[in-house]
Amino acid sequence: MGRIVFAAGVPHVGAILIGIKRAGEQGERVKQAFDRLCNELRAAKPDALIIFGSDHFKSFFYNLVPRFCIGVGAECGAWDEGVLPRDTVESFRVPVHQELARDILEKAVEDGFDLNSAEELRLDHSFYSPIERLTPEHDIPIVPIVVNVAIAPRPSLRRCYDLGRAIGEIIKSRSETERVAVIGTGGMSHTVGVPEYGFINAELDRQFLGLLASNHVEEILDNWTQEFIEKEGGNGMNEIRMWLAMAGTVGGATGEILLYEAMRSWGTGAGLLRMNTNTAQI
Amino acid sequence: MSAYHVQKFIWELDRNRPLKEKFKGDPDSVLNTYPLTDNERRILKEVDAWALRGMEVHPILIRQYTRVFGIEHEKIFTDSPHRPFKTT
Repeated sequence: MGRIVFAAGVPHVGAILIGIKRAGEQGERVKQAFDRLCNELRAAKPDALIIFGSDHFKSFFYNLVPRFCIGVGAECGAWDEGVLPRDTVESFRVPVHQELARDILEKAVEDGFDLNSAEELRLDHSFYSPIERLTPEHDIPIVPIVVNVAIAPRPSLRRCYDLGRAIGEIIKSRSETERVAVIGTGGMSHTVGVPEYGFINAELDRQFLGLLASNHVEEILDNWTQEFIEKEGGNGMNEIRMWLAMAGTVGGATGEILLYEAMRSWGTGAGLLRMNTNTAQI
Repeated sequence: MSAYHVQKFIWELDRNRPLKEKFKGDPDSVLNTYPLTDNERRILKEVDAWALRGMEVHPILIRQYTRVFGIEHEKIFTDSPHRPFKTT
């Protein structure tokens, strides 16, 4: 059976690429945590990297709102958001593991998850920021899965986790030599485009990380309502859905919190969590 | 869907660099191609974040629109309206 050999939750804010110096010692600690994960990812020798990310009104708008969308084309480009240099945006290409992406698409739909698919998926910072930190050579083919966390109605936390679990089962059903890595990106508490910009709830962020690391994810799935998430964590906290999808792929696993920083200069809580994939119960 | 065309204008502007440059140079020539009310055009030209919020424009789109004018995230609402265009 195929194996998930690496799974982690990481921030995706563009500042992880262009705001390290601005954040001083905090920024340096974030960079070091990413460097550690980068080395661990490489050591895991994955054949593919599944990325649960989001879309900040770059690919999708109210005229077309998929709840989940998987990229199945040969490669992905990037949107110009003022994060990557413009010439980098134009030349940005990351290969997609098409065979795995299409297999996930077909089997997940068979399992009752009506994934949308895209032959031409362009990535925003929720994908390319962690890609540039973790696999800057673009030598690990990705499987990008966009989770709609911006536009209501959003998929429920449990639906996201269950999609992750289903994908974990799909990986298990594949070739026994296949090695797959997974990341969920985003969060944690922060606000975007509202008067309360700069709000961070470090206590809630630490609680979230602790519950995932100790395999108490059910407490989140059962009790964290949409109202609670936005009131206590800001509208940006909706991004925990990508972390929960990641956690679902290694259901039952514990994890190690590599870092948490309340990044005042970035306006967001930033956490990095690596799951102990050998403790998964899938 | 509230203010659908206001939001669609912002979405298209944010994805299209030449359109962005054209808009900054001659906002009316771009705004006139969208089915907007006079009040919506005024709000967009004044970059009035409070008014956009009042129209229930999505917060991410408010952020993207104000970024077109180089407005820092923390100043979106504190300095609103921003009035980036010279009036005659």
